[in-house]
Order: sequence, then structure tokens, then C-alpha cells
Amino acid sequence: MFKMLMVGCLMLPMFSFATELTSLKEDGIHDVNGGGFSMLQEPKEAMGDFPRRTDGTVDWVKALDQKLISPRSNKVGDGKMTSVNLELVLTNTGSMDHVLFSHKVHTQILTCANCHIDIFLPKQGANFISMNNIMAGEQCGVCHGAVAFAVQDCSQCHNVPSKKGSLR
Amino acid sequence: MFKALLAVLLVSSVFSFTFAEEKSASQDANIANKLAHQVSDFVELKAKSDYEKKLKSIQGLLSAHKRITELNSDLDKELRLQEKVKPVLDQSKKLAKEHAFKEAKHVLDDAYFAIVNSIKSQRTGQTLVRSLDFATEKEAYEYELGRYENYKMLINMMIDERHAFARDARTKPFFDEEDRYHVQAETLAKKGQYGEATLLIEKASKTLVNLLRDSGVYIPGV
Repeated sequence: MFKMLMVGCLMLPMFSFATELTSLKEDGIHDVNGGGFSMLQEPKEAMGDFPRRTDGTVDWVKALDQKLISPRSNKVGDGKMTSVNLELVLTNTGSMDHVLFSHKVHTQILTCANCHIDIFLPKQGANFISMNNIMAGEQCGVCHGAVAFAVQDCSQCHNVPSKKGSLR
Repeated sequence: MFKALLAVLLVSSVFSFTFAEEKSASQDANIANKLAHQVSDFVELKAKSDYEKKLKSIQGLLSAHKRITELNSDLDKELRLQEKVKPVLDQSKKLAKEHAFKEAKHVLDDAYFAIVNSIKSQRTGQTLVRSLDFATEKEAYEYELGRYENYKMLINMMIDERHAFARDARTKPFFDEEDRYHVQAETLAKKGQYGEATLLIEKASKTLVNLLRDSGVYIPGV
């Protein structure tokens, strides 16, 4: 699985990820023989008309803009969503461009507690993010590659030109 | 689902009793009782885990708030907020000790939003440049070594498994160069010269990136 992700990461033109919304029968998560299975809504029914990114995955930011989704801060929906307009430029990117992380985009869909502190510490220089971890489903990979766009297109995240021009 | 099963078992136990099937009724009642306990245990465990997650999150955000506040001009206001949150955390811990996890989490919710809103008001519109805080040069070297190995593994797979390109005259100079840097870096690292080793392993990674670019893979950067 890890190997597949690794290859998928940089070989989009040759090998792309599955872009169709997988049916519940085939997703390997749901128990087809379970009593309540027939009551579950198929992803295609719920998200079939959602805007897509160029790789075919759902574009959650556009879906939010088009008011197709209305994120809740908790299951019951009695909490408040708090969007934080703070941007971080992450510079330990080797010879690649730096990463721009937008809190605004993420907190329109998630609450702070979704990431802090289980996934990322809210502390400067303390989160040793690596592509290895991301592709193994940790750190950003908890969502990206699972429910949000995968790491196929480097420039989605590595989009701030490095001032040094090359090395760290 | 559980509720329906419980109801069936309870009704069945009552009917069984009516028809003098005492043994069966008692068995059904036992199962129903067991299931009821399991459900209540599950609900409590979930409430406990939700509470603990929220508490951990608040504690993390509170320490972030303290760090941010130190740089803020309106220090008094923010310190007052921190003071206000303290008894709320204590109250929630007290409730959690009494196993009232749902109530404990509910108490935390207001504190959570107060902290988040305060961080929001202090940080809004900012763009911060962040780099990793390595404790030692060795740690920095290991981080860069991880990046190098990641590129190496990717290239090996693209060649050996996907046959996207080959080890040929075009790719050989890249492999030779990255290997030279890698060997030098390892040698220096063994001697404990991690600072210089890091620079070399970065050069090795850069060579691998160039190999990928030369092979037609777009990688942002220069």
C-alpha cells in the first residue's frame, strides 16, 4: 500500500489514483451482511454532483463555497465553527518549494481540536512533518489521501518559492 | 439496534415467564442484562474518550495561547482569560473524577471556544514562516537522511517496478553523484560531524530530485 502511494505521488500522468467514489459494497470498510447496511447512503448519491479537482477527487473547498456542505463542529451540530485566518510557511522542504499551510481553508471545514493536539502540536518547530509519514497515513496523510486530495500533485502544497533557491 | 435487541429479549423473557418457562426466561433476562451493561459501558467509554480528547486539546491550545500572548500588546486581557479558564478546567476534572464525562466535556466547550477565539483574534491575517526546531545536529541529519531515503525508494520503485525509466547512460551520472554525496555524508556522520553530513545528504537528495526532473517528473522548486 505504502509503495503504491509512493509511486502514485509523483507519477500522476502515468498512474492515477482511483477517482470514482467507491461504493459501500466495495470500500472494504462496511459489512455488507450487516443488518443496517441497506439503510446506508451511497457516496455517489450524496456526493455525485460535488465539484471535483483535476484528479477527480472531491473539491471540498469548492463544495463549501457552493454551500453544498455545511460542516459541523461536532456530531450533534450545536457547536460553533471558528475559522482562523492564519497562514504558515513551512520551510524545511529540502530542494523543493516551501509549503503554504492555510489555517483558514482547513478551519472552515474542521475544528481546531481535529488536529490539535493529537496530530499536530500547536507549537513552533515541533511538528516534524515528512512525506514518509504523510504517505503512511499520518500527519497530513490522516486526511490527504483518505478523504481529501492525495499527494499526487506536489505543487498543491509546495507552492511558495524557496528564497534560497535550492538547499535548505 | 441494541435497543431493539434488548426489547425483544425483555419481551421474550416476560412471555416465557407467563408460560412457565422459567428457565428460558431467566436466561433471556440475563442476556438482556448483560447487553444493557455492555451498552452503558460503551457509552461511558465514548464519553470518557471525547472528554479526554477535548481536555488534551484545550491544554495544548492554552499553552499556545500563553506563548502567543507573551508577544501581544493587550497582555492583561489575555492573562485574565487564562485565569478564567483555570477553574473551568479544574471543575471539568472534578466532574470527570465522578465519571460525569458528558458534563465534564460540556463544561470544557465554553473554555475551548474562548481560547480559540482569543488565538484567532491575535493571529488573524498573519503569515508566519516556520522552520523545524532540531534539538541536535544529529536530529537534523536524521531528518534529512529520511528525505534522501524517501527519494531513493521512490526512484527504485519507478525503475524496478513501474519501469517508468531505466538505469542507463542518462541516469548513471545522477546515481554516481548522489552515491558519492551519500557515502561522504555517512562517513562524516559516523565521525559525529553531523553539520557537514547534513549538507552533503541534502546535496544527495537534490541530485535525486534532479534525476526525477530529468526523467520528466514535475517537482516544484529549483
